[in-house]
Amino acid sequence: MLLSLLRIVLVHVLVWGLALAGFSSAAHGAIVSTQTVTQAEVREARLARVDALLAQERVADAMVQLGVDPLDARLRAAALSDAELAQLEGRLESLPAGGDALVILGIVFLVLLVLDLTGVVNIFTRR
Amino acid sequence: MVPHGGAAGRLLFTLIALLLGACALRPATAPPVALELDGTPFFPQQAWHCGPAALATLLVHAGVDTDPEKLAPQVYLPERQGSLQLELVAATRRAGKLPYLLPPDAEALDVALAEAFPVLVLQNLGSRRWPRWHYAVVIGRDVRGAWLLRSGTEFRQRMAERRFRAVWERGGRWAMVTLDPAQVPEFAEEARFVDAAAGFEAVGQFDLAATAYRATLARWPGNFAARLGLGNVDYLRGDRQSAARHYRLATELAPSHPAGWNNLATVLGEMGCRDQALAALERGEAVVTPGFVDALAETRRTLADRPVRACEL
Repeated sequence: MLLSLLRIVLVHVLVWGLALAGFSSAAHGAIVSTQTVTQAEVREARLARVDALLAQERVADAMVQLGVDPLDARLRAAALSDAELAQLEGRLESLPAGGDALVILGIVFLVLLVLDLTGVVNIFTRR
Repeated sequence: MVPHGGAAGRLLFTLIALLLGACALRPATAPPVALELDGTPFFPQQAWHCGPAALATLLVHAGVDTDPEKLAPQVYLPERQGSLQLELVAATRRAGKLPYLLPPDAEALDVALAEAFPVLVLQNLGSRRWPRWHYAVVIGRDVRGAWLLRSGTEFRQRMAERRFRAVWERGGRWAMVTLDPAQVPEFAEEARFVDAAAGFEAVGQFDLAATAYRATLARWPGNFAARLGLGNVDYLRGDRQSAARHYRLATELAPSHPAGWNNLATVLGEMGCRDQALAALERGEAVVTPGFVDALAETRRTLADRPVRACEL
């Protein structure tokens, strides 16, 4: 009981801590962030500060839609910069997601093997 | 077989031989140097978890205590059965390492390998129309120029040069190494390193940002962004005195960049030093570029609202 309470408190501290850490860079007054300078293409500052927070929330929601645990999703969104959030937003479904298809390869191989053994095709047997 | 007489023929032969010799001396492409980072760890991939596995390979090699199971909740998207590049970047930062994106050419991979950094690459093993995205870790080349990889469930995959280039190009030539933020390797490019450093600042990892900015300045003392970044990190942590000092140095490094003046004006304004702040702002307005018009206008508005009080400088 106490332990689970402790865990809940800890998770909240972590989540909000990280979220606020990400937030603080956006929350402050009129300083130009270093990324604005380092990123060659002069991004229009169209991502208003409030928008950045909303973007974080929307990206986290999209991650949850894709099966990520809600707490993990908030931490992950908080770990992305405004520029990265802008790149991800609305594109989580379409951007390259490296995952490989070892399993699919295996299935293709099995199908071919079965077809071969049943004599439909002739790939593996030597002539 | 020389048809008429010796002298002309011998001259021709000599010329051809010289030309051939010259060609051999000037190879079109640098010959591959066999090299293998065989100490690179290996995490055989489970199901679609090549992202967590490849990232763990790099991070553990860089001295981080982690494994694919710990990284999966940070980078894996179950419904996509894969991981996004940007999330590998973010997870690298969360592990306290600097995600450095290599320039999109194979030579950059060789150079990183030569300095003993394994390289995480995105490959498209399918076609452009039906992509099969995959992450693998390049650990070297063999004498014939083939690429050696930790990939999927293969501890040591050998991929012929042409095949590797094809799948890497189809993947957008994306390649990343994980660096110690305090150490700039020889191969690092100034703009790329400091941009990665700014990533720490952007997500609130201020200590790591400051470390990477200092490393940038140690290697490139004239780097404006790193100096501005040190100011930003101090400002965001609430140390205005130190921030003002860095901003002033930044304006000295790049007097024609409006960002330094803008940030200096902001922090001076907050310190109650209105006259100095306005002077700095005017310097910025004199060199303003389209991307910074809004920031300077906002700073001017903020300064106008500030109550006059004793300057803390």
